[in-house]
Amino acid sequence: MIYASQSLGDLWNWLLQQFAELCGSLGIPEVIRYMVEKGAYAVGLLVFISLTALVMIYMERKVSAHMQLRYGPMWTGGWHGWSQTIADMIKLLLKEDIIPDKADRWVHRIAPIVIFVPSLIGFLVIPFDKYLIGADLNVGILLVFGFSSIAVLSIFMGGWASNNKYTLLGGLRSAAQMISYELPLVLSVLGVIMTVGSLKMSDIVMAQKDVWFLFTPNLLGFIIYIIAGTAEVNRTPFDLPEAESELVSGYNTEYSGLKYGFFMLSEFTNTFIISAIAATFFMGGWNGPSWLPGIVSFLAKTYLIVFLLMWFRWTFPRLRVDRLMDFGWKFLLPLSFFNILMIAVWVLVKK
Amino acid sequence: MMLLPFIGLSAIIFAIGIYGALTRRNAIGILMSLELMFNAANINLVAANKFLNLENSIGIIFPIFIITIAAAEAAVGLAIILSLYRQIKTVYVEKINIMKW
Amino acid sequence: MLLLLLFAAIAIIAAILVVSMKNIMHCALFLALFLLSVAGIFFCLDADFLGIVQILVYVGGIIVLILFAVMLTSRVSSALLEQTNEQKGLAITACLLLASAITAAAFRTPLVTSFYTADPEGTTRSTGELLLTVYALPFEIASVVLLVALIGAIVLAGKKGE
Repeated sequence: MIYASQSLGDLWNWLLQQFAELCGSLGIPEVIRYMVEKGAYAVGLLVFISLTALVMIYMERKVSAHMQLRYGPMWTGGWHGWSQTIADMIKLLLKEDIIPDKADRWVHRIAPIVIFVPSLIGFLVIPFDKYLIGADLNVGILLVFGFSSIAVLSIFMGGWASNNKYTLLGGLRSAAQMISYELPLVLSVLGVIMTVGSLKMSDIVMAQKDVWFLFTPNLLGFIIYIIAGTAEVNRTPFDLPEAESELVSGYNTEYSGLKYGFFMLSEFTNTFIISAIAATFFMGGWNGPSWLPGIVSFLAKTYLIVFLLMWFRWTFPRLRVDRLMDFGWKFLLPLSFFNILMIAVWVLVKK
Repeated sequence: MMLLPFIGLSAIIFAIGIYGALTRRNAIGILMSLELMFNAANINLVAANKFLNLENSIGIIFPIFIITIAAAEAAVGLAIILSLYRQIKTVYVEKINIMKW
Repeated sequence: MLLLLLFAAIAIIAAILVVSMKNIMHCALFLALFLLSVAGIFFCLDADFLGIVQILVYVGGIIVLILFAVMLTSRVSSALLEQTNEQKGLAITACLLLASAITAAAFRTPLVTSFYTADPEGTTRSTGELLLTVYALPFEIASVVLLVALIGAIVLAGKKGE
């Protein structure tokens, strides 16, 4: 039965149980049942990702517009231009797909796929709700960081294969930046991992049942995480790889049509993943008031972080490239080491 | 599933790595062949750990050290290649002959 | 099992392409594919932590270093030079001999198979404990090696006279 405190995760778990009973009575083998379950989850995830991208693009436009005392798109579709993003997507789909004459065709073609697939894999281990997680792996969080480091490759490929000096410069800058900021990013969540003693996403959420890690000494880790995460998804003030005023559009200058759409889409999915991990690791994940379904409180926290990142964009000017590196290596990295030391002492004292 | 197919796999990959190291003209290509050989060794160790149940899971610990050393090797090797490229403008190993006369 | 075969096949094909492609950039990308499939093999062999380390360090670190070096030393247009030297035939013979020798040696060695059953909690915890107890000294030495390599690489590749 579905019980009173209905939430999407409980519903999913109930459906799974019903399906398992059905399979048991019909004698369907375990392998097929497993594949159908995971396939259904994957389809749901894909629908969710495309909806998320639509919502986030609309949100980006509206937030930036209102921060500049504008309205943003107002006409397409009626109420506050809600279908502007859909119109833009159709436009991107219909555009001609141009490959530069001197480009390395295969690498140029593969790069958008290489950037998009790892961000999809990241979604697999995000715990949306109690039972709503694609694969609760033992190495959960490391999987996200491992596959997000593949995105660097794609930016390299796109930048190099276009055979254009702006894309090459954008690719080099981006790779240097993402490598440098990946260290503080991983080290800042290490504090939480040390507190919990597990890399599993579900364990980390369960450990925050009473108090979010945001309100413990892990606050410093949260701040480092947000800064490094902003740099990791190449958003302002760390958007040097695609600094419009210097590099046209950075590594994706030579892309058009659907392939450009993939680069843009992956930027938004990566932003969502970074925010979702912040919500999971520091803000309690799907824990929340009991009257609120878990997925609602999870999404609310995630979109709060997304809004924070958009707020940064219109608040801080872009950094200079050498200062960016200095800041990452000489300030953020020692700070995250200090954070680890502090958390270690705190964990020992608490014991 | 047995250990032998994995030894065969790692032998094949190791041989491919040796072939690359012997025939590449580009110094970066030689470094990449070295990485192939490291990985062949790692596959061997992990498979041995799985099928021979080694003491203290050394088959899982040792590859970590190998990966560490491979990272150090790649960093230093590529630094050497870059500084060579700055001085003699080539990465082709048969052209790097300033030490011989 | 099927997955393992798939990963092994991808690994071998990618490895062959790494040593035979003409364009050094494509070689580096196929090396990335090879390393990913090796990570997949690790996952299939119950070494989940090692597979993640493989992806994080190799694909996220070493491949990017190699790509940096490739980018700084070659261009798209200059990528069509001959990449292999004239010792090809000799090298193939030597490699075939070596591979068959290793395989033959493996077949003759009596091995006692006893399966390693992975902890359902994953290998991360046991790996960490072993690294800080039994293998503490090698661990420290490895960190010193990394530090030395870091400084050495900066000294070698850094600009002179700054």
